[in-house]
Amino acid sequence: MSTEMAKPQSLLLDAQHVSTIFGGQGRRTPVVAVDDVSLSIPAAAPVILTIVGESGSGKTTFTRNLLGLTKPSSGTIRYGGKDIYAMSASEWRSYRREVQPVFQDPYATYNPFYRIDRVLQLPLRKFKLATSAEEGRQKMEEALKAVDLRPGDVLGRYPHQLSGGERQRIMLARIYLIRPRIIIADEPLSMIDASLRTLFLNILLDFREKQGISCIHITHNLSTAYYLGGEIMIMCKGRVIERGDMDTIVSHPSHPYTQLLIDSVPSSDPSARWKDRRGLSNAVETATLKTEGGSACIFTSRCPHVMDVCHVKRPTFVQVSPTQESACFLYDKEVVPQPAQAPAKV
Amino acid sequence: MDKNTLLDISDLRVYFHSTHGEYKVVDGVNLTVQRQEILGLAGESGCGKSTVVEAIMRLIRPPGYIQEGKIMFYPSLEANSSGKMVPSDAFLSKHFDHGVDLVTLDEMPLTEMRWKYISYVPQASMNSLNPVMKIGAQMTDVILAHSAFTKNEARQRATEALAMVSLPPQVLEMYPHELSGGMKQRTIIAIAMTLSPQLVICDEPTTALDVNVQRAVLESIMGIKEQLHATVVFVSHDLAVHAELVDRLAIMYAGKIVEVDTVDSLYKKPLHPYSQRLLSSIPVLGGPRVRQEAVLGQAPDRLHWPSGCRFHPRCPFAMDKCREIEPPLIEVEAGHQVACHLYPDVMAGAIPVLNNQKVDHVN
Repeated sequence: MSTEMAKPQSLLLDAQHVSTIFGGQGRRTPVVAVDDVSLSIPAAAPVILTIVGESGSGKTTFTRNLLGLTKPSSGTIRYGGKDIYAMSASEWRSYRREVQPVFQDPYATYNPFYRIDRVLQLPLRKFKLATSAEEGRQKMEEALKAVDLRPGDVLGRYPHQLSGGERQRIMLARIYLIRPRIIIADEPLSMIDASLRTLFLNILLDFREKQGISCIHITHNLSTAYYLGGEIMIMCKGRVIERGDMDTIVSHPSHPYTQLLIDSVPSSDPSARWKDRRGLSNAVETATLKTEGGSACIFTSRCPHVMDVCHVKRPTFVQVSPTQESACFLYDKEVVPQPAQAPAKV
Repeated sequence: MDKNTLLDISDLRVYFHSTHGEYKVVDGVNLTVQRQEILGLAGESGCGKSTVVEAIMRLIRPPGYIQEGKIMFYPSLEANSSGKMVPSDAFLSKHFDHGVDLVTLDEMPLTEMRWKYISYVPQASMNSLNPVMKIGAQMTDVILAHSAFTKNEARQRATEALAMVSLPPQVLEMYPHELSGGMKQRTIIAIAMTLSPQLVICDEPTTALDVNVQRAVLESIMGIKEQLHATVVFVSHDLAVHAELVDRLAIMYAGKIVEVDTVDSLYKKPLHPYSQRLLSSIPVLGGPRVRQEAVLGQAPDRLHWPSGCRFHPRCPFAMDKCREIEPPLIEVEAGHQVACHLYPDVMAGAIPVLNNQKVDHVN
């Protein structure tokens, strides 16, 4: 995942060194929500890229940056080579068509006064996807069937008559109708039931296979991320600390934060429970936010391998294995004479 | 009655009035909880698992009501002798041998019962800490309301309870907004532990927490069992969390228990087709990536449960019998109960063993 080397025109979506800082005016201390994050989606083949991070890691802010909802403080986001914050009205319209969001809360995305049909009719009209009412109707039904909903069950109903899982799938039906090139899904599973989770993830996989739609999937749940496969980026306090191929990172996590994260995932097998107690940290972790961009590693306070250099210098990405990069000095030849090998499978 | 039984729920029915009819949210639950175990309660949303624990706490409010059923609670004197509490209330000590029915208990003794014997960590409770009161004041409030401790003793107990979840005494002097989500949740668990109850009920305590924080909270709950020698009823829809924490697991579907077993044996050999589907859809981290199939079909309508077995419209093995007769919860092996017409015939070898654990559809 060498973003720097790939040619710009071969990239569909390309975010470079994006930072978003909130506050900072007057006496308010600035909060660095997104700190120098880069990401790219190639134009050639559809991919699934998952961004994993705990709450407060800046995932949602970065999503908003990508969707054009919050302008980043610095850095550029290009779509097809054009800066999305400097697009003409028509370019912007096609961007909005080709990059579609699925939001976290299916209870907050619908207008309760309108029937479900409207959610699907609006894009048909707006993007002129159907030439006649009959064709529009057919397309709507096809889209609903693609997400495993029976058109008769949902058309003509109001949002409050549908469950959370049905609402999220209608968002996917809308996406099926629009056929975007990228879906940006921000925690789409957090409000839907476990039994429907698989169905939703399978739809995302089918969209990639059959429709060629790429997906940027944002989650805090590593297990669902693993199910989708593809590539992964781990975020911690606004920064990306490890990125690369999903299977490599899950089986051989290199950054101490990623190791901690993967070790905390419940095993789902009662015979393979956590062997030891991590011991609860009795440090008072206060709910205050990170305020400095900082020239130090952000994980120093909890890192078991912390070194002097970690407090004074910001680690840059080091190639740990052919498909994995880690922002950790443990793997940096200039800092550690004999860099650590990627740790064995955990 | 087995003297190891702490809680015995029989034929519990909790209904809710509405203009459309009665919502039979909990409709005939039978469940026993043993002393000093962690019992898990799992099921999809709307299956009635939270309502069951609210009924145990007698917190059902109109339009809900307990239509019928018994919740027998058998507190023990011995468990408390190792702790620091001795039952002081005359009413309760009178009932120790033959148990108390929580459904019919009067309001006064019920108040005595709460926190001292049974405590409760409600869903999303970490967000219900009072924002303008220090943690210490909120903790001592609970202790003073439910026991005869003096203010100083109450403060001492609050400090000890915080130590049990590895929080330092400074937390007493802090306000909720100064704590992270995980620390708030651990504080709530500490409040539930202050009076050394014999039963602690936790309703979705780790939902919406990050994995690192979730692990800390789960370790706190393991501490309830180990340090207080208490029993925990743990409600969660997350089967991976159950695998990590609980001793026995009860799976609910449509207001009923469909299967109960020790967690090890249940995960190895789920018998009910719903349990099989549920367990096969746990996302696993690592290993081969296999495309899983979701539990198909719509969740049943709570106003009109399906006839016979409530799972039959979604069940791949449904027979005519399933549409007409409701299967009772029967014990098919020692400690393994299941409510399905396939059993015990499958066990006896009359029908081949069902196994839809893995759907071979490689991604």
